Parts: sequence; C-alpha cells; structure tokens
Amino acid sequence: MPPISSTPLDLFFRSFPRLMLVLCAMAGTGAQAADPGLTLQSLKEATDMVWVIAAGALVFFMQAGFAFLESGMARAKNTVNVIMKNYCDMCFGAVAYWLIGYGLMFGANASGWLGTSGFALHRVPESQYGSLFFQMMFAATSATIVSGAIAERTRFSAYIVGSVFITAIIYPVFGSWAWGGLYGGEGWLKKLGFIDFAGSSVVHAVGGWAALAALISVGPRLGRFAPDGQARHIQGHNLTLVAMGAFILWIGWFGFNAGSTGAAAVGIGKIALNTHMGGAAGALGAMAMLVLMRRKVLMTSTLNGSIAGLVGITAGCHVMEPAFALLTGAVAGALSVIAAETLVAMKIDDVVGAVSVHVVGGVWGTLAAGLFNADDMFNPAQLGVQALGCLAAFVWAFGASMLMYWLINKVVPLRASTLDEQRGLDFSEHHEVGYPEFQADAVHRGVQRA
Amino acid sequence: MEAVTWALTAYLEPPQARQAAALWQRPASTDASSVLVGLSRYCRQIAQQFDLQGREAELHLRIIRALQAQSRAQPPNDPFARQAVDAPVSSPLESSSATLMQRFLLAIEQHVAQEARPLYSPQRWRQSLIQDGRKVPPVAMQQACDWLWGRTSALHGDWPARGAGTRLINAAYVTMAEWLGPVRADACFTQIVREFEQSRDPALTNIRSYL
Repeated sequence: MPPISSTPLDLFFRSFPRLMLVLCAMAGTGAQAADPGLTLQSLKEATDMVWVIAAGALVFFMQAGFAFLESGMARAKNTVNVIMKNYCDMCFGAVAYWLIGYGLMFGANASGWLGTSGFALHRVPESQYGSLFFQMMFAATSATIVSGAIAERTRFSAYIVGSVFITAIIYPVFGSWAWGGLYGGEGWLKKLGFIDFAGSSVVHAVGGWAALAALISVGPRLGRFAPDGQARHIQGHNLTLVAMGAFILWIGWFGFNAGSTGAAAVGIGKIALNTHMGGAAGALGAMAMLVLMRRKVLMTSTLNGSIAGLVGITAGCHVMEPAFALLTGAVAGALSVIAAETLVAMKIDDVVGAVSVHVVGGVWGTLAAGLFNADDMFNPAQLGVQALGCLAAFVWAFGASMLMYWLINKVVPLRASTLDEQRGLDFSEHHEVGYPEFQADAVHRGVQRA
Repeated sequence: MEAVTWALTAYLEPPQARQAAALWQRPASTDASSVLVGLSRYCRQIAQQFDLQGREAELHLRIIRALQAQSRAQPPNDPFARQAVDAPVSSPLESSSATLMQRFLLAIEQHVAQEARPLYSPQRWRQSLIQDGRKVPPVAMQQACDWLWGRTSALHGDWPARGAGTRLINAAYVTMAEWLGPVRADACFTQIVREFEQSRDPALTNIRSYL
C-alpha cells in the first residue's frame, strides 16, 4: 500500500466521518441517537470497503472489455465461443478461487511459498469478504488472458478445465510469493522487496505466460500460415467491438490499480493519473514504433499498445511520478509492436496479441517499477529483485501451464476438429450463432437442428 | 485423344464423346500455358455444341486430369494407390451423393486453380487433398483416390451427409484453407454452396446438409 500524505483533500477525507457523526448527532431526536457502535474507525472501514467493492465491480467490468475485444478480433463464426469463454472464466473462476485459490494465495504463509488457510472462506469477520471479492476479480482477469490468444480453434471444455486450474492453482501460487501473507507469514518474493503493486507480473505476466503455453500446445489456426511459412492476416469481424472493449478495459483499469490500495486513500489520485498516463503513452509508443518500422498505423496495434501501457504501469503506479509513468507506458506500447511481429515470425498465432501485451507489458512494467521508484530511483539491487520476480513468474507460470495443457490434451483434446473450425465454434460448441440474421447464408456450417 | 474421349464419357454418350474428342487439337506448342489456353477454348466449344453450358470448368479439370493420368503410372504419395486398377472407360455415377461430392470437389479445385495460379497443379492439389483426407473412412477414401488419380472416370460409392461425404468436404476445406488462407477459403466455400443451392440440379441443392 502506498504511503498516504497529508494534503487538504486527505484532511477532508479524514474529517469526513467525524463530520458525519456530528451531523447525525445534531439531526437525531431524543428517540434517534447516533449508533453507539459507530466510530471513526468503523466509518473509515466502511468507506474503505465501499471503495474496494466499487473498484472490484470495475475490475469485473473488465471481463466485458475482454469479451468485446476478443470477440471483435475473432471471425463472426466464433463470436459466441469467445464470449462464452470469457463469461465462464469468471463463473468457474469464482468458485475455484473461493474454494482453493484465495487460501493458496493469501492464507497463512509460514514457508513463504504457499498459503495454507482461508480455503472456502466461511464464517469469518465480515471485513474479510471484501478482500476475497476484489481478489476474485483479479484471478478471473488473469485466467481470461488465455482465451483471446487461443480463440477460434480450441475446444471449449478443455479450455475451461485449463482456466479453472489457472484460477485455482497457477495464479494463486505465484500470487502467494509476491503478495501472500494476509493471515500470517510472508511470500518469499515479498520478503525480498519485490514491487508489483497491482499485478503487472502477478496477474498479467502470469496470464500471458499461460497464454503462450496454450498457444504452443494448441497450434495456429487452420491456414494462418501458408505452406511456405508466409503469415496470412485474418481480420477480426468487428473492429468497433474491439475499440469498445479497449475503452472498457481502460475504465476498468482505474479500479484495478486504484482499488489495489485496499482503502479509500488520497493516494488513489496519483495511481489513477499514472494509470491513465500509462495507457495513453502506450498507444503513442505503439504508433511511434509502427511509424519507425514503416508499418501502417493500425487501430488494433494502437489499442494493444495502450493496453500494454496499462499493463506496464500496473506494477509501479503507486511509486512513480507521472513522467515516468508516461515513459513506462510508451516503452510498453512500443515493445508490444515488436513482440507481436516476433511472434508471427515464430509462427505463433496469437489472435488478440495477448502475449505481446500481457507478457511484454508485464515484464517491462515490473522492471520499470524497480527502476523508476520515486523514492529509490535506478537502484540496481531493486532491479535485480524485480528481474528475479519476472524469472520466477516465467518458470512457474509457463512451466506449470505447459504441463497442465499437456495433461489436459491427454484427456480432452485441446484442439477443435477441422470440421469444427470449418463450421465455426459458435455452431459446433454452443449451437448458437452470434449474428443469425447476417449469418443466414453462412455456409461453412451444417443445418442447425433443434 | 484417348484421354479426352475417356474424360468426356462422364458427360456424353460414347458416340458423342468420340465425336467431341475428334474436335480436340493439341496445340503445336508444348508450353503448359498454350495447352491450357487451347483447352479452355476447346471446352467452350464442346459445351456449346453438346449442350454442356455451365460445366466448362469441370470439363477443363477432367480433361487435364485424364491427360495427366495417361502419362503417369503411379501417383506419388498416394496411400490408397492400388497395384493395378483399370479405369473403366465409362462408369455412371453410382449415387446422387457421389455426383454432389464430385461436383463440389471440382468446384473447389476450380477456385483454387484460379486463385492460387502460380502454385496450383492438379497433382499437387490432389496430393494435398488426400493428405488432408485422413479422417475419411478408408474404403470411401480409396474410391475418392481412384477418381482423383483418374483410375475411374467418376466418383463411385455412397457419400452420406454427416459421414464420409461431410468428412471429404471438410478435407477439401482444410486443403483450400491451407492453399488460399482461411478467409478466402470461407468466401469460396460460401460462393460454391450458394451456387449449388441456386442450381436447378436436384442432386446439388442438398449441399448444406453435408456441411
């Protein structure tokens, strides 16, 4: 949590509960005295909880952003499938995280490697439920990063199994290293002084590494690369949806970062500003890189640049000054363009650019948090800790995900059949089509039977 | 001449086929493009004279196939190749499903030939299609190979929807997606199906049930 400075606004916030108490007392008649249990502390806690829940709702809304962005980047015949994956990430993820994930991540962590309490949270002080709610949204965000990467050719059931494992185990284990110890103990990375305020590594890089493992396991879409190795562009079916998704993600990011304070503190102003600067600079960085590389300035690359900027600023938004937030975002955006081209050259078919945005943005952002910490600029020791955290995220998230997808593939084939790819996963997996009126003539699918 | 006669027997009675084949004049140049241009002209002429309008592209592909089959003993990389199969000179199509499949595959090949002109050769296309047809039941695939390699003049067998027929069409889709990319493959697929559904041939209008 960032240090809270005493500004006039801060003073107002601090005196606000007292003012409310006085007003309550003045307004109260003889029969309606102020609740004797109501204290400044309880009002502060209540205000904090309101903010955390509101921020959690904003993070929840990011799922809609992902759904719009990813479905718009896919072909029309796979729209429903992409949206179902996003929706179910959240639904299955909520149960998995409540049952297992939260305990692994935030439970008593004596060893520094894993939480051992807080599973299926039940009958605990009410104040603890808010934290579970907020963190549950984070977990779903991490898992859903995979869905867009492997869109249009992945079997739904196999995907969901993977998503549940990410939410229940892969994400929480790394989370316990970096953030763990809410109920005692401390994660080993946290002990070393690892800085990742809202999850550039914990949420985004972990999700991105899992996405890379999934991409390698499932292979490219049919015909994405010609037999001679030439990449073929497969245009998304609705770029308006993509833009809408990016806007929603951006809005949600204010909750993602500013909500990570866990309190309605005055510091959320700087965090929100830095978040915004990071996103804006990410788009500018991506555009600049496209121009430098003599590429067309595409909207999709620009939007991905801004998301990479948002990912990048997530780790250090509480400790950076706005100028460095801008620099962090710009570099993340520029790197996302280079990474996207590199992946294509390696014949990795990432439909939405999840790896280039979340892995590259996440790793860079984590390093930048160590470099541009306003209180400790360019500290090589801190940079070393940050690099160690990035390496740990890669080894754990990528390695565990590769193993997981290999095991899943043994039981349920991860890859949809060529017939399903021909028909579109909307029809073959969900028996619905995204745009029935417009797709009446869609002939790559059979006759739908009631 | 023999190959052309054999190719035409799928469309014409034997006397007519011989008469039509007599009109074939091999171009003086052996250059492939000259042969193709001459063949296109010949197909248009045959179609007009023998009431085969609209089937010029099919004729074109069938004659190319017959000419190639004549000059080759055994197709390479054909897992279904038999030791010795005599191509019947005239064999009527066994079922409407076989007609549908044959026409659909020819239509796809025609699109590929147009859109992947530098890469396309009938032999390469057939090899790709056979490789992608691994999920087609072996007996059915054997019949498809016999036709693809010109050992039979028409596709034989029963090709039920949601069975071998659907599998073979999917194999053709996969091959087309690899050759043209998935976006063009979808577009070509859509166009072919629309044309089939709008055709007056009752054997073709049922195409959607095969997808």
